[in-house]
Order: sequence, then C-alpha cells, then structure tokens
Amino acid sequence: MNIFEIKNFSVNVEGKEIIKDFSLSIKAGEVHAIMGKNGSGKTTLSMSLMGHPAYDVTSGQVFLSGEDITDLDTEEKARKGLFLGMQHPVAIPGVSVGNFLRTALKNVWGDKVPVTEIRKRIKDEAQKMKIPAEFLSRSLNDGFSGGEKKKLETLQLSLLAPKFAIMDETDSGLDIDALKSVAEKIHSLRSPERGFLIITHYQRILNYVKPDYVHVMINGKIVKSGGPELALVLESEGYEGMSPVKNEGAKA
Amino acid sequence: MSELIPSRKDENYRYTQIPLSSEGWLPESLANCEATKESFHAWTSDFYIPALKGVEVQKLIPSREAQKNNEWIFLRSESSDSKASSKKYRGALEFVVPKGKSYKVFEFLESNAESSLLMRSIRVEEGAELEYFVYQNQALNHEFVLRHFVDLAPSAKASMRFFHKGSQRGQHRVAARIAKDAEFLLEGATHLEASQHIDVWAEMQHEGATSLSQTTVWNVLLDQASAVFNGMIRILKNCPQTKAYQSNKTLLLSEKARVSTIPKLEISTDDVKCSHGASVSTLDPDQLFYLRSRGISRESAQDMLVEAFTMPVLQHVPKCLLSEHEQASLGLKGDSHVF
Ligand SMILES: Nc1ncnc2c1ncn2[C@@H]1O[C@H](COP(=O)(O)OP(=O)(O)O)[C@@H](O)[C@H]1O
Ligand SMILES: [Mg+2]
Repeated sequence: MNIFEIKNFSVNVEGKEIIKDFSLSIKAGEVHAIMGKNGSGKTTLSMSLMGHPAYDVTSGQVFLSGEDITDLDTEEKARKGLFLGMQHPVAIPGVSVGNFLRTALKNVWGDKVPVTEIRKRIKDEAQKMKIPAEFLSRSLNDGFSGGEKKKLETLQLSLLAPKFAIMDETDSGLDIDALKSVAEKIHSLRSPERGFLIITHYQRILNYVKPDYVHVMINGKIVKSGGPELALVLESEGYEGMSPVKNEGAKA
Repeated sequence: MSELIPSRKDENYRYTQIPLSSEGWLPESLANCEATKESFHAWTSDFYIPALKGVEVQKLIPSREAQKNNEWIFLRSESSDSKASSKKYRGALEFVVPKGKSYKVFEFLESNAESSLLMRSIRVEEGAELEYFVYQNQALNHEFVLRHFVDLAPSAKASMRFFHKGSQRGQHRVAARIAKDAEFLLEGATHLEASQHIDVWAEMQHEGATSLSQTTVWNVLLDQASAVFNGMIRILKNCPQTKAYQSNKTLLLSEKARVSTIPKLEISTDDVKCSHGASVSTLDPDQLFYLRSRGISRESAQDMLVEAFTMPVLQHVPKCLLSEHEQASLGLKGDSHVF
C-alpha cells in the first residue's frame, strides 16, 4: 500500500507557481530522496504538504495511508501521522523544549498516556540521543546551533513516531559527527510500516539512510528518478547535466 | 503639587482613561482621598513623594528569620474577605533596605474593593539589593492607582517586576532616582482583555555617574483592551557614562485593542547611552505553524505563544507564593515551564 501519495500538486508562493503538477507515491517501508539545488522548490513542497498558510496549494491531493488529508488542518495532519522535520526550525523564546514536547505528545496521544509516562519517555529518548537534561529547560530553538536544532527535530521524529516523515535538509549546517548521529537515528527509525522522504542537496546523508529511490528536482518538478546510484551520479556530475524531462519515474 | 496632580491639559495624560476629576487623577470613588505634598520621610524631602491625608504610613520591617534566609517578604495589601463594606482602599507603605542587605518583596494585589490608591516609597541604601515583584489580579471592576517611588543610593541594585492581569482600569507609576553606580531594572507585563485599561509610567531619573536603568514593558492586549506606556529617561547634569534603556513591546491580538507609547528623554549630560524602543506585533505565523505541525491545536498553540510573550516577567514570579489556581491561570502550574 502507498503510505504517502502526492497527486498533481501545484503550489503558488506570492502569486508565483513554485511547485508544478507534482506527483509522487511512496510505499510503506520505503525511503525516497529528493535532491535539488537551492531554490528548486524542496522546502516549498514540504511546507505546503504540512499546510503552512504562506503556501497556496492551487491544485492536487495528498493521501496518507489512503486517506485524503489535503484539506486538513496542520495539527490534524500531524495527529494522523505526518511529520515534517524542518530545514529552519523557528525559535520560540519563552516556550521551553520540555513544555513544548509534553504539550505536543499530550495533543497527539490524547489522554491515553499519563503525564508521568510522557515525561519519562521524553527523558529516556533524550538520554538515548545524548541530549543533556538542561536542554529541555531552554527556550525552543532559541540560540541553538544548527546541530542542536536538527537534533531536536530528530528527537521529535523519534517521539512522535509518525507513519510518514518528510525530513527537509536535516543534514545541512551539521558537522560530520552531528550528521552521523542524526542520520543514524533516522536510519534506526526505518520500519516496514513507515515511509520517509529525505530532502537534501548533498549525497552524504544518504550514506547513512540508504534510499530506495532518488528523485532529482528542478524548478518545482521531478526531472529524473532512479535508484541510490543516482545520488552518486549527481555528486560527481552536478545538476547541470540533468535536463528537464517528463515526470514519469516518480511512481517507481 | 502641579507635578503630582495632572490636569486634562497636561499632554502626558492625553491617552490615559483614568478619570480626571478636579482633584486630579484619582478614581472618583477616591476623590476625597487628597494627595498632599507632605513627604514621608526626611530623605525624600527633595523628591516629591506624596502622602495621603488620613492614611497612616505603614513600615515594612522583615523578620530576622526572613532576612537571614533571604526569603520572600509577602506583602498582601488587603485580604479579599476584609470588611465587605469598604469600597475604597488606601494604603501607604515605606521601607528601607539597609546597607549591605538584600530583600525580596512580593506584593500581591487582589482587593475586592471598588478602588484602591496605594503609595510605596522604597529606599535602597548603599550597596544594598532589592528584588520586588508586584502581582496584580484584582476584581475586574476594580480601579486602582499604584505608585512605587524607588530611591537608589550609590551602588545600590534593584529589580522591580510587575504583572497586571486584573482590574478594570489602573495606573501604575514607577519613579526611580538612581545615584552613582546604582542599577535599576524594571520589567513589567500586562495581560488585558475586554475593556481593561492599564496606564504604566516609568520615570527613571539618573542622578549620578555610571548609573544604569533598563525598562521593558510587555503588553498582551485582547478584545478592546488598551495600554499606555509613558516612559521618561531623565539624566541630570554630571552623570557621565550613564546608560538608560526603555522599551515597550506589545502583542496585539485584536484589531480593536490599542497601545500608546509615549517616550521622553531629558538629558543634561553628554557622555551617556540612551535608547527608546517600541514594537507592536501579532502572533507569528511561523511559530504557530511550528507548534501546530507537532499536533498542538491552534488554540493551545496561541495560548503558548501568549504565555511565552510575558514569560520574561513571569519566570521571576515566586511561584511558591501563588495559589495552584493562580499558577494554572498563568500556565505556570507544576513544572509546565521548566524555568
Ligand atoms: N516565502 C517566500 N516568499 C517568496 N518566495 C519564496 C518563498 N519561499 C520560497 N520562495 C521562492 O520559491 C523558490 C523555491 O524556494 P525553496 O522552496 O525554499 O527551495 P529549496 O528548498 O529547494 O531551496 C525560490 O525561488 C524562492 O525564492
Ligand atoms: Mg530548502
């Protein structure tokens, strides 16, 4: 079954069409990568899939586990199991990481899980990821280094355990050690029930999270699709050689 | 007298909604409660500290125990069950933080009276330190006038924080005199809804070299609520290297809410650093989106951002002195905020 499906999706930003008739299907258990230069529309795609109000979806549909989630509120999408690890997580001074995580989990899990259990899971998971306890009392993403921000995105991925996760440039701005720990964490969360869309413009994260399919995005469209070897071709030859072709391999 | 009691002609009072009777700024129910220019104490003789006719000045003397343990001194102006018949409440209080001592005072205002007029005059002696928190959550039909006069001796340090959440209308004036090497931090927040109105005055008078004042007031305004920030930085002659900053930040959550920021500078020394800033914002769509993308409902996300806005002040409230209910209403219950 397709865990995630994007059908004929078009998105305008400030009146300009950035994503153009975009389609992609991902089966449970699969990892897909989208690679593309800066400005090719990767973040526009991911933010609009999650429902950011600044991105105007002009046509198309999005399905999660077969359910049409196109018009759901952002929080509803999250509760149904869609996760977006953001490229630039916004700072929220005055909201502590701990409070934020507890509130998020309470909202997603409802009253099923007692607060003490929520607290324990956050603590345990942070410990596993070698995130110091003091970190939980800091203001959310406020004054965080690039690495800390992405580590926190990955901690949320792990705690929320979504059905489908879009990770937008989780690798950018990280040094080699941070990249390795974050990428290995993502890799460990692969499962036959879960799908991933890894967005990047470098090949290196894909060494740790081996994709089943790689898609090349130029100007808001997939121009080429292939197996993991495509990432290596891109690495050595760059995007210049990729001529826009019809979006056919996306269904893979 | 004229400085004390403004008239409608005074442009400083253009924005305030505090009713101005011929007696001045007092709420009508307090009109017979005349301010006089008698000073509280000798050391205030050149600083216009008003006394209230017929009101006995209370002196605050912390217990030896409290002093020793640097505990919060809990000032409760009027308990909510006091004489139901008393519609007006007037009070005057003064205290001195002696040389080398350090006091922490928590002033809790929760009067059920119709109106209140409260004067506080505080002297922080050389090298002494004061931490002061004013928490105002009075009945929603209450009107108040609240004055804090803070006199800082050389090298004294004081931080005053306030949070205004209750009352229909109120005016809070904090006036400080800051001597050489003394430091005064004023941080306040208002959280107002319906037709609540709070008028804040922050007057920093620098009287010595290398003195410092830093004032920030955060307003959260819903519905038709309104707030006024009257900021004054006055630097007298011969106060080189003085630094004085004031800023007023407002989160407007309704089109009908209003804020007026009136900054003033009077500077008589050249070598100083001063700034005034004001900003008005609404909820940040990126922050809302981030919270909602983690499954947090729109309403909870908004509440979190509103709480976060006044958190610079609230994180300093002595939680142990607030009731569970009060803490919950501030989003401070349990360890929901891990500050
Ligand atoms: N908020 C925005 N306002 C205006 N233009 C935007 C905005 N977001 C993205 N764009 C434009 O959309 C295009 C794609 O940007 P983006 O999706 O961020 O690309 P990528 O993530 O691949 O680097 C760029 O031309 C960018 O300038
Ligand atoms: Mg991007």
